[in-house]
Amino acid sequence: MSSTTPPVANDLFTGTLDILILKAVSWGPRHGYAIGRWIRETTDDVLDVQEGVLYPALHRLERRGLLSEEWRETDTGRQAKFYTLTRTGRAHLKAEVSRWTRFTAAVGTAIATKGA
Amino acid sequence: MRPFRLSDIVPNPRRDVSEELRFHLDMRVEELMATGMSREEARRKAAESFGDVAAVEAECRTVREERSRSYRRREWWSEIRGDTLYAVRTLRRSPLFALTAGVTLALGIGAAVSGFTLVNGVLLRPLPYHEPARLAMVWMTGQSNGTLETQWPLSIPNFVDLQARMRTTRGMAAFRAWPYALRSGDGAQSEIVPSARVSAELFSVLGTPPLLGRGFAREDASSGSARVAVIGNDLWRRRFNASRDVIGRRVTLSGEDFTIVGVMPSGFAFPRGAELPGGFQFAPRTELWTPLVFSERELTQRGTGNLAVVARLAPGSTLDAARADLSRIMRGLITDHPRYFNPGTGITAATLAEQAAAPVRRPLWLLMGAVTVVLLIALLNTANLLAARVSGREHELAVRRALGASRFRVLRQLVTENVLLATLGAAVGFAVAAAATRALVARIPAGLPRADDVVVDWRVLVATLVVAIGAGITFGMVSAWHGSGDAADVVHGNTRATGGRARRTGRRVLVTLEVALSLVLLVGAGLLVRSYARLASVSPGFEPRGAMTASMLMPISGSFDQARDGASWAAFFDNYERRLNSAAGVEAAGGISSLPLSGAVESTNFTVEGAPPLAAGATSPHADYQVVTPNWFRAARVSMLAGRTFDSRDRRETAPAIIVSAALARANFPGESLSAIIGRRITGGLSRVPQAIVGIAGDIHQTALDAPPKPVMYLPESQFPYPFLSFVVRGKDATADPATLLPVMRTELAAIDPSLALDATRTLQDVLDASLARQRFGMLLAGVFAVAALLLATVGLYGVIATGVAQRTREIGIRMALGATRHDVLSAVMKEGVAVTVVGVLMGTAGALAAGRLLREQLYDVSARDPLIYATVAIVTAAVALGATLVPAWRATRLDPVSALRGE
Repeated sequence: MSSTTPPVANDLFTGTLDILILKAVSWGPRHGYAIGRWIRETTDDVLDVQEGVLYPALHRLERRGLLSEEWRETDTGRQAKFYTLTRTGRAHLKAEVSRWTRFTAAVGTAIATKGA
Repeated sequence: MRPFRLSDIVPNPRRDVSEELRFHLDMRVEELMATGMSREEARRKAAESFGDVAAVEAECRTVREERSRSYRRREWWSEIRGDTLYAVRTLRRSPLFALTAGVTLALGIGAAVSGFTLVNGVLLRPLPYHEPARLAMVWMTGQSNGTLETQWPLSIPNFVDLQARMRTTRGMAAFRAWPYALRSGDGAQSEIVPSARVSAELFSVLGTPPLLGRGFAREDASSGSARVAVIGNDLWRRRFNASRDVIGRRVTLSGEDFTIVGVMPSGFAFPRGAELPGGFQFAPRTELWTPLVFSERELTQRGTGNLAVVARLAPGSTLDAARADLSRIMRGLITDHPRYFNPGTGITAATLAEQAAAPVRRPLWLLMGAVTVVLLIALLNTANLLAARVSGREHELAVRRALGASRFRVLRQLVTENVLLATLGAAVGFAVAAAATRALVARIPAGLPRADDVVVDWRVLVATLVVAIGAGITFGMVSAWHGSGDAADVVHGNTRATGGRARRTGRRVLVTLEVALSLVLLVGAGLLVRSYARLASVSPGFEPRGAMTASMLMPISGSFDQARDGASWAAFFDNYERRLNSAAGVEAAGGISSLPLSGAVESTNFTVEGAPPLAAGATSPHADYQVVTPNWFRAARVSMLAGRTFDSRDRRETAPAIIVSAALARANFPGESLSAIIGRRITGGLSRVPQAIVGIAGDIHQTALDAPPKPVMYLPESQFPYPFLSFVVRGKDATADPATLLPVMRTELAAIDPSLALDATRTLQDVLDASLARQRFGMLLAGVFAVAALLLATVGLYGVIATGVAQRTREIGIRMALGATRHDVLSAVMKEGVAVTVVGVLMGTAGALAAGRLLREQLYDVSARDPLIYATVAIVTAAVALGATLVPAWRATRLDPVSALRGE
């Protein structure tokens, strides 16, 4: 851990974790551990998702039909549960990303404004 | 590839989640060890950063359990949907089958629903009053003329005493028919409205408050109080445009001013004539009510019965208790006033519903039986069709089984398919029945009690649903049984040639039953037709063709007072009769107080002058009496057997004259010639004065064609004035439509009094036909259902033989190849049809003989075992059934053996 900034896993904005998970599997099936690691690595350790939050979130997304799951072998020959983005999940991700982009842009503009 | 495991289909949330989390921890440990930690340290670190594993696992499990519950639900629905879609596809693939089965079911269910709607409306639905089961009618009972006359009305003093003394009822009301000529506003045409004079308590006894205004108060019923009336909803809409201002409005009822004080809610028409014993001149629906006012004189007439009485049982009381109470009071009355009661006079009560339903209960249940038979035949037919089809689908079903569908899954598929079919059939049948019932009710003879109550209600709906779903499930089971052959055999085609002998026998049994059942219905219908023909050929004693009739009512001011108003009534009718008889185109015209075959007549006791005194305990002779004008006999063409008709010699001041019917003469002057009877005197109940017999008239059927003519006395209007007469007008041109006489009747009436109106205008033939309406209606219904049953059975038989031939194509081909002639093939196929026909006809005949007893009461002058009908029906049924087998049999002989063997 090279960064000095502490991880901010526990105060993720509502819905943000869902977007990150869906994004993590948008290139292909991944198991839970890989998803957690992807989020940590791509955010340069800023977002360290706790397992206690990650797994329930995965199961909820599966229940909502945004992810599908399947047990299969990993590269190392172990059985692991892989999550795949469903068609609904992909549409959802697209909509959420565009919403998120508009949101951050708006917030960014607001706080960049000079004044009191 | 790992072996297939149960967990692949049945999700196990617990193991699934814990395995997933264990994998995660293992990966984490490996990752940490890669940074140089020892295994122990990595494990500790991983567990520490994970937190409470058990809590996370529990949370995930909850999510998964919810998921699998909703998944199972979704799957169940999607399977139903799948089954239904598959069923729709299957039915669409064989439209001819779907159409045949659908139409058959629609017919059967439609017939059953119509029949049930009728039975439900008349027999099962509660009457449209508050707690109708606690309403009872009170009647006098006893003997007269040696025969049991079940019920007659109470006299005014008896009613008043009962009302005061009854302990088991809470409220008792009397009513009597009282037609009024209604005029609202000057110059308006008057209209005779079916009305009743009723006790002030009537509406509260029935528990129906007025929609507008008020009902009657006790003060309204005292003589000298302001005259008030309550009107029915239909009359309110028809005559007063449903205006709320009608309350307080003044109208003229038969020449007197009344104030309208109330309007009854829609549907209230008590008393409805058909619900009361015949013998009261109540219209089918009553539309206007005025209070019954008893004069001092009327309160002493204990011997004149003219009040129908309805009572509400007191809380906690029963009908039996009320009967005992009535008998107790009656014993007291007989002790106090012995001279007013014949020996054997009693009193009884019957519930209003029972009273209404009693005369039609048997015919309606017979009708229900007939429609049930039609339904049964339709169901058997459909079952047969399905069985034949399943045989054709064995291959498909077997393939589905072989592909892993469980027995239950296949069964459910079949049940879904059949429930769908039955529901479609029922929906069409229900729609047809709803429309048909409306048409039926419109044609129902006015004599059917509670015709107003015949509507499609929730009971009918539930019954239809139960039949449809029950039929669907049963059919599914039957199909499954037929389709349950060994899958392997069927797939390999081993059964095709011989095709389940046992199952074909089953189908033959079903179709034999159909033939038998339809024969039973045909016999019933045949007996009714023959009975109707016999009845219609009975001579009524008058000539119904070529005459027009209409009734008219004199205005009565105040109470009915013959002594005060009689002279003016007699003068009016005398004038009207003279005018009619001298009018162009009229051969003869005359009036009578109660047209024959149009309802009841009043009757009275009489004594014969010079006859030996009555033996102790015997009752005095009894006869109907009619008031007539002189030309009535000529107008109706009633023959005079001796003496003369009334004429100008019979005036108010001359000696009282009377004409008696042949039946009366025979019964009371045994052994005397008719001419010897002329001049003898009898004293009737109406007059204390002896009346001389001036003529003897031929018998006429007064109450019904199937009842023997009763003794009748005819009194002249000139001496016994009566304010309500029906005129019979016979035209000179016998071929012309009698209705062309109507303008003459109207013109002559208007010339005397323009405010009077003709009522109940119809031809004399219509009067006669109406008296047979119930029998005709029954015959028609029975005929329609019997023919429908025969048609269905024929289609069924044809289906069984035709599919039999189709399935035995190969066998027939082989036989023909081995040298069987066309004749051999024809007789082989026909043998099956002949067996079904013979057994069906025999069974049906036995069934009809057994069921015929039920019909006995409905038959006139025809034995329930009439050999002609049985023979005719058996021959017709056999001919039709054999015809249905001949077509496929003939087709079988046209088979080309080569293609039959080569083909499927």
